[in-house]
Amino acid sequence: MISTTWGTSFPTSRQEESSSFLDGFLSSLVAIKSAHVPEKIEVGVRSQGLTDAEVDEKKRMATALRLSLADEVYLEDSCITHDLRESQALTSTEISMLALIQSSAGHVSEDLCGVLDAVDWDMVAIPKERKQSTLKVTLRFMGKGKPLPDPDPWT
Amino acid sequence: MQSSRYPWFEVARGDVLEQGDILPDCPIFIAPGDLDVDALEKAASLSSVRFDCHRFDVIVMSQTCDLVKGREKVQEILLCPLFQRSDFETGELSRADGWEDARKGRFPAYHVIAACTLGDHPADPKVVDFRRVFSLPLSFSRNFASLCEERVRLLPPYRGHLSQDFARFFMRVGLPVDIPPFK
Repeated sequence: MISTTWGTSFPTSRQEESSSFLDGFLSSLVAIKSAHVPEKIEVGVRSQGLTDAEVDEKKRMATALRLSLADEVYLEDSCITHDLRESQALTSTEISMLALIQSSAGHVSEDLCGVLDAVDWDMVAIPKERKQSTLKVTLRFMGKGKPLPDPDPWT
Repeated sequence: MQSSRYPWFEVARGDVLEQGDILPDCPIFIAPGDLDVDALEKAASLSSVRFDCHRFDVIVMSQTCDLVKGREKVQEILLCPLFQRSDFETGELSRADGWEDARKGRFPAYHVIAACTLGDHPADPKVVDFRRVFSLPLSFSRNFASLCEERVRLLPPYRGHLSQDFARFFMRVGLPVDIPPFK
């Protein structure tokens, strides 16, 4: 299972049968924390004009990119025991993305490569955690408000 | 100008707000224009921030159906300020002919509403200024309305007319090449 420090939802629009690993992988990621005010970042992959291989590559790149934005990414050993699809060689761009994750989080193992290959989706929505803080405000009382000057009221 | 068949206004009480409700001397909180956005990210580094609190006569622009108690669709209410002619020291609306132009709809930013002749709430004609749109928490606005005891409410179809002009102000399109005037 890959878990992140912020909630992630992965709605799948496909109706085709998914592997038990995929179900577990997706369900483990649906954990939007109520404390967050999520900002959705949606990544849609347009497949028009692309080969299936190119679409798959773009999906994996999008996944790696989104995961690279997480504060931390943890890969638990349990997921690599699931039945993964036959993995494909990663492109240099995808490897670079994963390097970003490792450099910033330091918790990603090489087995993430295989996990990414097993994921197949059309859209990824990732809420961004908003930090809460308190702002001290002092009020300056200005009295009755005046209208703005109207240099050009015709506009 | 108070037709008994199609009155412009009625008196409202309590915390049930509708589009067209006029809230007199409503506090409006405005953030400073030079607020340090970077410092906001690190709120601890700010000792305090000064907000200005103005008082405006405002009119509720939010749709009534969005404000129904128990079925609120919004958390904040939209308000626009109201001014009378004496509030304008210069410019078109300081003059009667300017108000006539506004009444005819020639100023997209303004909408004129009639004088109020309700017994305890007489008022001169006012203009709604769409160039300033305020928002306040709905709950705060309800509490404030309750404290007003009585307030004036703009009735349909006049408030629909206002709402239509409000929408028109925000959807207006400036043509790059306009049709020449007809002579």
